[in-house]
Amino acid sequence: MFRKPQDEEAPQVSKPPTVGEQSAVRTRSVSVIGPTLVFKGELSADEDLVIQGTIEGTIAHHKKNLTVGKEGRVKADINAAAVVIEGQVDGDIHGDDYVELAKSAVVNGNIFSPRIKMADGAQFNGSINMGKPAKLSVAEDASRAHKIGA
Amino acid sequence: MRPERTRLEPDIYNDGDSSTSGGSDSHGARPGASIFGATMVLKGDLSLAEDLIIEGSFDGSITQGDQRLSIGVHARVKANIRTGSAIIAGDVDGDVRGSRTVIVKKTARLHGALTAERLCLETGANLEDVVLSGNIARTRGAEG
Repeated sequence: MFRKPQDEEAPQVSKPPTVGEQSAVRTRSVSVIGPTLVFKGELSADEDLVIQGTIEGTIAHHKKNLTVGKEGRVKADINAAAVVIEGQVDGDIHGDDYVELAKSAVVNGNIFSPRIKMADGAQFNGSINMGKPAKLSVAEDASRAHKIGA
Repeated sequence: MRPERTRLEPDIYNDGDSSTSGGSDSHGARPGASIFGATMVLKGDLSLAEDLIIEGSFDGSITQGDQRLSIGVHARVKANIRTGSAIIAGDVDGDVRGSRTVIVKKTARLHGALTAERLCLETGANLEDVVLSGNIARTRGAEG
């Protein structure tokens, strides 16, 4: 009689598109840079983007998700909400939500994100900056330890 | 509401041979096509060897093999374009050279030289200072 709304479990952060998800392009508006595509210049977008080709220049992609596929080669700084890297990136990666490196990822650059996931086998040369330190109970213990030490 | 993507029309491109249209997905592009959505803005040089759908804004140059190019109704392209076949429904400022068929839809605004083996112009297309060269096929707008 009384049905529960089905959309209650909808996640707050949408998942980044995965490679091969192009068939859903009409409903989720995912842009795709194909494997044979080579682009040098400036790219900006306000929709999810999958890069399987080669991009050199700048990528301004705030608030949306970006995936660099296995065949993707990016020589650019990346700004996006969630970033998933399966290919190669030379440049800094800024992820407002999180940055994920798959095992096939090769990243030469720095990562700036509050959440970072790296798979075993991912190659990463650079530094990680997670911004403000998270408020954990460990911090209380640390302050107590400091008092004891003093 | 999002505008519908411009359909690539394999029956026209293939001159009646529909054998290669089996792999098309919902928007008519073959799997592996590149798609630039409505919010994408690109400035630079682009080369590729696969189908391309542009619905956003592009400024620069496009060099494509003999694949298919679709320029959507709301797309704005300022570029010299070399392609195989093309459907133009949006705004194009630049020279377009197609090695096969180029279709200009009635919603298109075109400024530049248009060269193709076969040209198909819909009634109502806005052509400003356009130099055409190629075999003019039947105007599609007159069919209905």
